[in-house]
Parts: sequence; C-alpha cells; structure tokens
Amino acid sequence: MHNDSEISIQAHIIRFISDELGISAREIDPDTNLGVYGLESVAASKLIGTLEKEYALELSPVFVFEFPTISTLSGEIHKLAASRALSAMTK
Amino acid sequence: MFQKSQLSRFDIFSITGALPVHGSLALRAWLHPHKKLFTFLNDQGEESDRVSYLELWQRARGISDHLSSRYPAGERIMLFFPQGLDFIAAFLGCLMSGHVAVPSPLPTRRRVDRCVKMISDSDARCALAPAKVIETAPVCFQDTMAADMDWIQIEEIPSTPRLPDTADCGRDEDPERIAFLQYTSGSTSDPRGVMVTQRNITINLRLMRDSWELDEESNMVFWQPHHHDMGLIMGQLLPIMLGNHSVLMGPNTVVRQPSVWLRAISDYRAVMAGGPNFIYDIAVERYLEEKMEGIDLSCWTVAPNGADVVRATTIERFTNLFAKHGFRPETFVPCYGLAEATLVVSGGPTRRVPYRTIVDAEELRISRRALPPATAQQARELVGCGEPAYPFEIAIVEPETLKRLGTDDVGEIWLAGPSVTAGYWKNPTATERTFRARISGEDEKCYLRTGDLGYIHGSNLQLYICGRSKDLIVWDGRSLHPEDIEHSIIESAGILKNQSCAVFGYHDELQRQRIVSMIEIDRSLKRRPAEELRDLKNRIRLSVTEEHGVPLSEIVFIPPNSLRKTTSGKIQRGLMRQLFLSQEYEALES
Repeated sequence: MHNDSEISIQAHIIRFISDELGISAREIDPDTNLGVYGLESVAASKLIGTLEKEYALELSPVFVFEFPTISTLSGEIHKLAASRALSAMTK
Repeated sequence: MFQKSQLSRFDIFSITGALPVHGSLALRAWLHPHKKLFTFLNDQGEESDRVSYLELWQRARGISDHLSSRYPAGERIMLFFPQGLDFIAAFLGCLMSGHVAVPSPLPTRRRVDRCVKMISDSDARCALAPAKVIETAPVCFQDTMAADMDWIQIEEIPSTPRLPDTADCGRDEDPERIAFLQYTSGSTSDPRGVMVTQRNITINLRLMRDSWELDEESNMVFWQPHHHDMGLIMGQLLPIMLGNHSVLMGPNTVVRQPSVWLRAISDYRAVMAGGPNFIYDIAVERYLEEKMEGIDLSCWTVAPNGADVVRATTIERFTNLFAKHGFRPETFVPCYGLAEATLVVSGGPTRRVPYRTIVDAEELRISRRALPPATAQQARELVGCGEPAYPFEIAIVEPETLKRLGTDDVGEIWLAGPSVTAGYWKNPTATERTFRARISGEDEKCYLRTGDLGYIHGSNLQLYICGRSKDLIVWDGRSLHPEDIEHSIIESAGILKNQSCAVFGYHDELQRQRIVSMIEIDRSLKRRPAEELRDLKNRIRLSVTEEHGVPLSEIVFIPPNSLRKTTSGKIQRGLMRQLFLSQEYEALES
C-alpha cells in the first residue's frame, strides 16, 4: 500500500514545509539543512507527526534532527516504509 | 491554622483569595498534605514524576532557607529549568524567601543573547538549575558578561522536614513585594522585565478562579512552558490556589501527538485545559480516529484560548470534530491578557458559546467603527475575547488624542486595577509611558496602555481585539519585535546597510501568521549568479531561525531607497506591509 517513491515522499515534505513555513516551494532545496528554513522543534514535531500519519510509521522524536535534509529524510522514510511492507508480506 | 481548629469551605476561598500564592500552598499543605498536586507526563503520556501539596511545600521551603542563607532578600535569581516539576519548587522557594525569581528559557550555544540580556538587565548574580542544565549551560555563557554567575544545583538542596504553620502563610508579608520578573515583553535590544508583585499574582489567580467558577475539583491539564506567563500563572500557580490535581507535560509532547494531551484530559477528568489558538488547530490537523479510542471529553468545561489571535474558524473546526468525543461548544473560553497586567484581563462568561461578529474590515481600519460589512470581500469575523474580569476596568481610548471612546468605537485598550503590574524593572521612562497614562480630561487615574486595539460591544459587553498599534508580530503566542529580526538580517548578510530592511507579519488567506522581510540591496545583484542569491537568502533565513526561532516566509529584495521611512528616518513597517500585500513595489528579482 505504501510503496511511495522517494520522489513523492520528497514532494510531500516540500509541500509540508512550504505550507507550514510559508516559503515558496521553488526556494526549498532538498539538500539544504531544514534548520535554515526555520523548521524548529515545534514544526519539526509536527512534521514527524504528519509523516507518522501519512506513512503509518513510528518515528523517534529526534528523527528530523538525525536526518536533517529533505533528501536524507525521504530516503530514510522510503527505507522504513519498504521494510515495513516487506515484513507485512512475509508474515 | 489561623487560631482555628478547622476552616469552612468559604473560609478557604477567602483566605486563598487573599494570601500570597506560597502562603496558599502552606495552608493547603496543612489542610490536605498528601493530596497530589502535580503529575508530570513524559513524551509517551506516561506518569514520570509527581508531587503532593506537602512535598512541594517542603521542597520549596528548603530552597527558600538555602537562598536566605546565601543572598539578601530582593536579589534576583535566574531559573533555568527544562519542563518538569523542579521548576515550580524553585519558583515558590524564591517567593518564600523574598528573592525575585527570573524564569528563563534554557540557553543554547547559538541562542544565548536573550538570556544574557535578561541576566544583565535584572542584574542577577545567581542561577538555580538542575544538574543536567549545569553540565551544559555555563559553557554557553563563556565570554559573555554572565560568565561568572553562581550556579546552585537544585538536587543538592534538601527539603525541610518540618510542617507548615500559620507563620508560613505570609499573611503579614508586604503584598507589593516583587515576586518575579517576566521577560516576555520588550525586544532583545531593549529588554523589559515586567515586575509582578505578590498581590498581582493573587488577584489574577482569584479572577480566573471566580470568573470561570473553578474549585478544588477542577483538575487541569497544561503543557505551556513555565517561562511563558500562561504556562507559569495559569498552568502552575492557579492549581495551588484552587487545591486541585494538575497534570503537566512538555510542549513538544503535545505538538507531536496532540492525542496525548486529549487523552490526559479524558483520563484525569480535567475540567480545564487550553492554550494559544494554534494548539486547537494542531489537534484538528493531526486527528487520528484510532488514537482517540475511549477518549471522553465531556468533563472539559473550560478551554481558554488566548495569548494569540483567537480565530472563529479554529473554534468551529475543533468543536465540530470533537463533538463526537463529548466536547461541547460552550467549553471554549476565548480570553485576552498580557504580562503587564499579570495574565488574564478578560474571558467569559463561561457556559455559553463564544460570541462572534462579522465586521467591515475597511471601516474598522479607516473610521475605526465596528459596522456590518458593506461587501463580502470586506467582511472580517472577530471572536469576542470575554467580558472584563473583575476587578479590571477597561477603557477604550483614542490613541492620539487620548480621549475616552464609547462602546463599539475602536481604540487602544487601557487597563486599571490591582492586577496591573508595578512596571518595568529599572526602566522608569518606559514605565512612565506605558503604566502611567491618563485619559484626557480625567486626570485622577493612571492606566496601563496595552498597545492593542479593540472595542467593547455595546450589548454583549465582549471585548473584541482588532489588532496591534505596535508592529509586534505574534508567533505561536510569542511576541516578536521586528527591529530584532531586522538587526539579525543585517548582521547575517554582511553586505547590508543599517536601516535597509523592514520586517512585518501578515495573515495569509488561511489566517496563518507569515513573516516577510523587504531588503534594500544594490542593483548589481541582478547580474550575480543565482546560487549567490540563494546562499544569501539561506544565510538570512538561518540567522532569523537561530536567533528568534521563527521561519522567515518571504525575502523580497528591493532597490536602494525604496523603503518608506518617516521624516525622522524610522521605517514605516505598516506602510511597507500595505505595499507588499497590494504588490505595489519593485522587486529586484524575477
């Protein structure tokens, strides 16, 4: 069900950042540290909550600080979602 | 206690409504020593700490004795605590010993400026903190004027073993004694410590208790940080006056998982829980049916919504969504308040659906009257922020002529009454200007100027807030001064001249706060490579984030000399906002 591609996960995160912080999507670069855009603890917690909801994952509260760019975040989400789907299939 | 073998319910109401708050704690530690006062929940919503009335009193008393042995009364004591139950013991300890508490956010290596300004403005020589803060915080202050502060580790101070008696109730203490300094107003360059007295606290707690009909059964759930006035006074001091059981948690817990907050309200049968408008939005946006199983919000009767603009759409969405979990529309209590008036100024009556009104935005701005909208585009919905809470007197005053205005006229909100604080610490000029205002033709009385614009409705007596006469930007309940952000931008970019930048806020179509900067820059910028521009923007954004903790939504580069200024050279932020919103400006970038 959640075989979302990394690109679509990236787009999802960019949409969230743009919506939440009011920064135009074309100014958001996937390889720039999210701290630059003002994604501080409150908004970061919101992002984690949104990702957990969207991809049905349980993430650590410091997830965004461990993977601080959109590229690394979406890569990790993709990996987690894929391994979850795999374990669901083999069950 | 008080030469009586027992106290009636009415006795307790009048006594706690008059004693300083640490005195009420002593009284309650005698009345019901083993009743739980605070429970703290961790990130997962599990109980991780708790304290009874007697335990809190004994801890605070121990801290008070320790401080008295080291510093003369009146000395300022910085309080650096993470969210948890140690803070309140330290705060009450200061109140008992007559030291002036200065609650502060935790310093970080990068954002230490504001803390340093607070320390230097309050002239504090000592800080109380837990061991884990002392491991890291003093390093942040290296090479600042705060480097040689004394640090007292809270874990090393023993609780007193004794029990409270009448003398601990503080009946004879001077009610005008300064209890703490609240540094939420004022910019970094011009910090303003609001001097809150013992009496101010008691009066404000009493008006919340009485306006909202709260008592010892009114359990509460709160999550706001204790260095914010709402978190401190409503979240941690009000429970002591009421004698209730209150559940506390960290802001990040709630923001990440609002269901933890809602579940706590349900589990602990809370009567009161609330926060700034955004928390209700988050609860709606993050709603997950499966996380709501078994949550029953029918116990919840007072949901204060304050410290930020109260939005009708938020109230409506929240009410509709949570109705199926037992939430009632009359639970919402929009309120208005500010640190200079201790906390709450208006709110209520309770047990009725909040008042809403639709006015003409243009008329509001131009003729300063609240009239029905001429066209649909000009309609703006306002939520009534409650009736003035006794003993406040609210006057609506024309800000230029200082003439008193009638009902339905929009003007600056002025306040009088014993909950108005004593002024700004060591700042007689600003105190005189803000706290000693006089209405034209009525010279006998002093008022506090709030800087906020509003009106009192002629028939329902609700106070409606229409905006700020200052340029303040309110972000998640926090007030930011545009000049501080402008300063950071100019410093960070390295190539900008002073006074070449205007920062202002506006609300987008979904009424979200957005922060914009318009920056004058050399025309040659147009010919520079795109990456250079992007790096510049990133540098600016990073500095604003690091120094102020808010995102800068838009950065607009404009030609030299296109910022509008007054004849005295002050940036006209309001005018720049208008030009920005109507797109009447030349941008130096495609």
